[in-house]
Amino acid sequence: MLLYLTLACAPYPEGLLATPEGDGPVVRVDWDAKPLPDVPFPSDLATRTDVQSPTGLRLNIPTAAATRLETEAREKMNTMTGFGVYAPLSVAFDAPLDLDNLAARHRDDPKRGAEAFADDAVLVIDVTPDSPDYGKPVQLDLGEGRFPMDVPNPDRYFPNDSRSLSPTLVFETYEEDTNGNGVLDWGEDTDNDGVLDHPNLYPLDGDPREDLLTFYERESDTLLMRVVRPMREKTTYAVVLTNRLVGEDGAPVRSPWAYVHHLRQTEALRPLEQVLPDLGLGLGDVAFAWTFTTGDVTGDLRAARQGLLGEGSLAALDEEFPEGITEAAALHELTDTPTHTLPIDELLAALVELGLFEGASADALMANYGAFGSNVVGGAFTTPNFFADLDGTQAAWPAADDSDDLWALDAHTGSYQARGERVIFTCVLPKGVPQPVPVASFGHGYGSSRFDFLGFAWAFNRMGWAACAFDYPGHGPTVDADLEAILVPVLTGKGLVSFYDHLKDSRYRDLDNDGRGDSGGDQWTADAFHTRDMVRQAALDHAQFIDSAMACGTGKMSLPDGGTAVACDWDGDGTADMGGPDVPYYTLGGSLGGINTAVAAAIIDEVEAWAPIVAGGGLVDVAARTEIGGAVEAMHGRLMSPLFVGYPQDDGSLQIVQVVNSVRDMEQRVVATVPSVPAGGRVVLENLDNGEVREGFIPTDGRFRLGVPADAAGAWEKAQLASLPAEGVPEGGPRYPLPDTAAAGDRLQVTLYDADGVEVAVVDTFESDVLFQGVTYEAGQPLVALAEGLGKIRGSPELRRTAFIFGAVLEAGDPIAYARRLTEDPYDGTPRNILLVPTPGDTIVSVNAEIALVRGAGWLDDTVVDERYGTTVDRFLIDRRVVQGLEEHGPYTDTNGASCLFDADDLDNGTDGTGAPSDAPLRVTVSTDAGVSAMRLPYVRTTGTHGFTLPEPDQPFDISTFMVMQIASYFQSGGQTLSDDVCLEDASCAWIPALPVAE
Amino acid sequence: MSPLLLAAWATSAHAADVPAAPPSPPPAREPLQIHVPAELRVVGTLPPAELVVDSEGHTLGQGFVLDTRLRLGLDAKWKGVMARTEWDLFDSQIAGDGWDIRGVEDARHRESTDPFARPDVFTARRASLTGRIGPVGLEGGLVTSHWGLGMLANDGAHDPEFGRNDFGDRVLRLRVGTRPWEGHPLTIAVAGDRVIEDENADWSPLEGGEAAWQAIATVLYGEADRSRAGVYYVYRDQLELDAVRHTQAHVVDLYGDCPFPVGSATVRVAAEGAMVMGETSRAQSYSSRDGLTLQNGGVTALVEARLSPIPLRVAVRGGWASGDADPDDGQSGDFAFDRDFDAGMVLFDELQGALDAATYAQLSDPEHSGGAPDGAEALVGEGALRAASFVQPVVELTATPWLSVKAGATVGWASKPVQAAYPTYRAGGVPTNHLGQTTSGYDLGTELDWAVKLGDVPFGKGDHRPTPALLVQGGHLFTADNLGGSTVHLVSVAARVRI
Repeated sequence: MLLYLTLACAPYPEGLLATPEGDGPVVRVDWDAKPLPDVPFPSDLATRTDVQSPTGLRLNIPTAAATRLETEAREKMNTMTGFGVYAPLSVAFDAPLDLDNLAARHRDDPKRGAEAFADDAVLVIDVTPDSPDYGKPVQLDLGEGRFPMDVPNPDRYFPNDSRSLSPTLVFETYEEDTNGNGVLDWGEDTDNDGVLDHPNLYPLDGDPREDLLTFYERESDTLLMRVVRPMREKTTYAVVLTNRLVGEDGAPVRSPWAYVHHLRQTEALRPLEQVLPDLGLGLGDVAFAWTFTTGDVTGDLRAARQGLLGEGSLAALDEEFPEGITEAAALHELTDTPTHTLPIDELLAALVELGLFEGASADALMANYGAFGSNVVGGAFTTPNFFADLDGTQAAWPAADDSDDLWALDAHTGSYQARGERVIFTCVLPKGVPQPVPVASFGHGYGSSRFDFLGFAWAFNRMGWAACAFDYPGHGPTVDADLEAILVPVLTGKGLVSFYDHLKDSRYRDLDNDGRGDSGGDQWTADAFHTRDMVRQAALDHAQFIDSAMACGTGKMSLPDGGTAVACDWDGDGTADMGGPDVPYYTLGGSLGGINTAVAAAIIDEVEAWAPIVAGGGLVDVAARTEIGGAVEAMHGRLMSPLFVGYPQDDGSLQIVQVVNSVRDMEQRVVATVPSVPAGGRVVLENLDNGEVREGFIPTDGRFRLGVPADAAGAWEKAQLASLPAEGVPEGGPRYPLPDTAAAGDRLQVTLYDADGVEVAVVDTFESDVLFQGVTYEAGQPLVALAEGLGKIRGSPELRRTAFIFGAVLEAGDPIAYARRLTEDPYDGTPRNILLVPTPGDTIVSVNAEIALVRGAGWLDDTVVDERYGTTVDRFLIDRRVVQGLEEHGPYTDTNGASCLFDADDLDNGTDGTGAPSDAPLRVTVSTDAGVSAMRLPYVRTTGTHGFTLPEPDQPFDISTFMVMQIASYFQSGGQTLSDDVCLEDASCAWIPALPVAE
Repeated sequence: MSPLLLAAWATSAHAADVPAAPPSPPPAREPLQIHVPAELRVVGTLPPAELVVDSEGHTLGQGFVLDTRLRLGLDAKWKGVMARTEWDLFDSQIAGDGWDIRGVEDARHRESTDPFARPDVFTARRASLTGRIGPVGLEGGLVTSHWGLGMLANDGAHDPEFGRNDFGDRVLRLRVGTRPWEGHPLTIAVAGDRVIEDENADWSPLEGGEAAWQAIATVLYGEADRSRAGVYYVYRDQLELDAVRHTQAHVVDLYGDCPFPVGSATVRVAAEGAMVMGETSRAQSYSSRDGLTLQNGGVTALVEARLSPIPLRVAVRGGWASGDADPDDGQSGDFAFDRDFDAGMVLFDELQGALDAATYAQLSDPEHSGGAPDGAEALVGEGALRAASFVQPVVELTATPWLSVKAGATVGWASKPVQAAYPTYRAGGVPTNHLGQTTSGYDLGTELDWAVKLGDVPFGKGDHRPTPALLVQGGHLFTADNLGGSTVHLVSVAARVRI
């Protein structure tokens, strides 16, 4: 009791350092800002404690938002156990910073290694006492070139884009103050964001692409920082703004609070007292500081994988979803061989006849398969599918809309929801080698299917291995009706319809009610959680496939004729043809397959060697630059739509068109026509349900564009509302009117005013019948959003913030988060043998992200100058514009004088005939305790490519054959050696089985 | 962004009732004795509707409100076995304004005047059997719990000095007590509780809830209405609804009460003090994410003199509950008195109760956060005195048996820097009050209270005579600058009939 009495009044709390007097820019903290609080980010101030989280924290983001779409996204974010390990960091101020000072201390700082931090204005320091990197600063990139934000195709982002010439999506590059009076005059706000925009360039009068300012956003006075490598998971970092960070008048920045930090973080920041002196600083040098904690980003997936092995918190998975090849597929109707074994030459001949393979490539494939391939076989295994709805229900399309589901799994608590999903696979078996044979599995690309593997399987058959592939979640063969009309008769004539049916026995669903599968339609979307988990699911599917292949020879698989056989014994000799516990396994994948296998590599211990091709790390960086069809629409399209645009007509009228995303497309529907263009007038778009209003200027040509956040039913929900048949409605099919359009989307209203402010039209109903996603919005019914979207504006801070947050969300399905687990800090302690293959000039996955993954793995040194280049390897790739990867904006030309990319690896030793500029070949190779890992940059085209494809023996240097044989050889060595011998180009190396000499 | 978790786990100990003296041996042919106690209470209250409760300018919003409660019991005694039951029926606001503090699980359900909106509009307070086997007294069933001055365990059945009581700790209890030495007023009892409802747990067999168990041991020396002193120990184990967050706490409470004559006056000196120690993961802090160490306590004391022949009563009450200045460390130092322990009627009951509820509303507002931090629900203290101290002098004159007037003052101080969690969080952790103003010092304010009671004497003839009473009360709080420096008034009129 005496103790209590002495503590009768607990004292007022004190921080580490009171905020000194000053008048420098103040860190902006606006808790009430919309759509999200404006606070330094990430910050643990945006978390709450949770004993059931492995970090003890969960994100705590306000869930009130304009749309259900965004509210649900935030609710999902609040389940995250911390912040991203690679997501951008930002802090805003109430006045501009001195960018010259900042650039000198960071961007243009020539120092490398530990010295590089000596005069930095901003530091990010590991302050977790038990961390291996405790007290160490994290390398930051402030505009140094690792994160280019320019896009290859500016005019890619939907109709009537006032920024169609802007080289970036993320920042403003236009000057709106056309009369230079500093005021937003009517007509100047061409992007309708209500702000007088100025180019985000440094220097201000610089080139929009070359001088794009990526580390500072002038409009919001926000400092943007990127970590060069992913940070550690479950680790707390302090962001320290030193008093070297100053405003334009030279005054140091200031805390908005009484202390230089939030008092909640006093203890978390206390290690600064100890570690700052090592950096030549003291607490007195701190102008502002905060902490953030990275989440357990990769833990759930690793735990799920271990669960499949019967280990860890999710060990029940092993029993619930046992591995095993449980069925053999029927592949043909030929009479002289069992229906479940299809001779590869029969299939190839048909495919060549159909024109799917042609020319020299076809010849190469035929020769290799003819010499080394035997039968095509197929089968199925069962994978645990963890996708569940927000409310926890688990049902697959078409019983429920699973395209917005996310993983229901928490390794920390050992809880999960999963349903068994049958996954079909196809293999090509090698010829003339003892069985069971090793297995090389392949991951296909976005929107594609396992059928892709035929382009590469030959190389692994040549090594005496089976080559296998399965479809990723939501994927299957895309065959349009016209092609199918040709395909089926040909295959029927050849007795191969069963093979076609086997291919169509897949994982895609009809996501837009047109009766046809939409492969990859929900792979890359604005639903960051679903996208994240599509990758995780695929990675786990790889694990289950490997486990199932390792179980070959045990258990039974059903045969198409109703009989059974030993698992994987397609040839009926009583033993498995491939797999089993004693053969090696290899895995490669390209594009989406590269991303999925790069993630899988980190969590699967049983594969001897990996080769993710064009795998990107930092998916938000991919999203910021990619021009891939489908994903741009499903991601950016949904972020920016629903859009209303004006199209002037020849008769002088103005069509008002709603532009929305539907799966992988942007769809346009006319909703009204007004007799004339109210040039110079105003358009007001109002969401009558959530109250959001946007206004815009109508230019002389009438081509306005305005977006608004809106909710709308998804395709599955629309199908229920209009009672569509489960099989969908093909084009030209019957009408299925919506009884009530308001049930299918937010009610919208478009009002047009002329230049004098006189109202000329109010559009709140559909002018004529509109068919969208199989349902009909009838004329006269209330105008509603056809599809959901966030209505963000290109180049606006809001879009940038949204993108950055999405980046953090994506990380659990982002290879960058797993990069440290490859060779530096592998889960099982054994470094992976992995060959990462970016391709120069890739604008699909974006080569900067592909190189970022290599950097993330720790293979690109930026601390030691490489004598070959006079700079660090990392800097070399930036300086040679390999990281930027857009040849048309670079300094290099080929022998024809055309713009070309730099050939950093020069794998052809200058023999490809392009005259591409090279230096000493880079050929990043890392020796580990387990073998070697490496990056190779195949220079396929002078203007860049997204990976490599079929053999091209008619090229001066067949880089495609080189690469696939390099990978096969790497696998053959068990990941112990990586040959760059040019003999790989025609597979003439001694260690590669030779093709038979033609007679 | 995320509001700060600050709620300490404000443990209230749960006392075992003091075991009654061993009953006399039953007569050979004892008839069945039935008793039906009842109390009907109708209260009209005029709260300060314009009271600003948070930094966003929200107001209490509750003007005049009328609420009812019928407390009905049935006691049956036969052959030394007593069966007792007691219910609160129609316990609800039935007319007037609901308050505007949204999204708060206020136990009085002040947000609604729908008489059936309150899920516990019918509440069982007691359903028990009491008896004895030899020297051992036994009690089992649903009972209310009270100990000492009601600082920790309070049955809500004791008239407060000012204000009202609304709750009462309820437990399922099995109790064994004895007086080991005949003729010696030492009582020893042990009990096991499953908590039905108190400040920290709410559980029902049908709907579930927090699983709180208590083991209790008491030693009491003395008799009721005489000097006595006692100690009890409670061990409480509580598992939250999520079946993960867990609390284990030890509570030791000392209580002494000593009435004695001084001349023609009767003086009473009483005191109670308690310490809570333990661990909880019900709430966590940023620096201690696995949970908190519980280390808090409080004291209260009373000095009272009843003069004669002047029918005057003079009393001074006081109390102190420990406070925790740092919500982000690993310790929970906030102590809360039972919500039915009333100190004044405005500062804690009305103002602090509303501010706590408003804080919780802010912490859980989707405009501000994704959800309130774990343990934040403990902020809603229903007016409990928490992390504060008070002194309350009272003078009461009983002019006639049916008329008494009473006046008093309550001066309050905080035991920690005056702060409201949400605005403090937004202000960088610097203690800031509910109005968003930085605070200094510990003053909370001074409250002047008065009461006039009419009636409260039996009416008519017979054994079951009704005892009507009319109680008019007023409280006028002058808040310190730390709480905005304003004046808050509360007036209530309660009509009550007891049988």
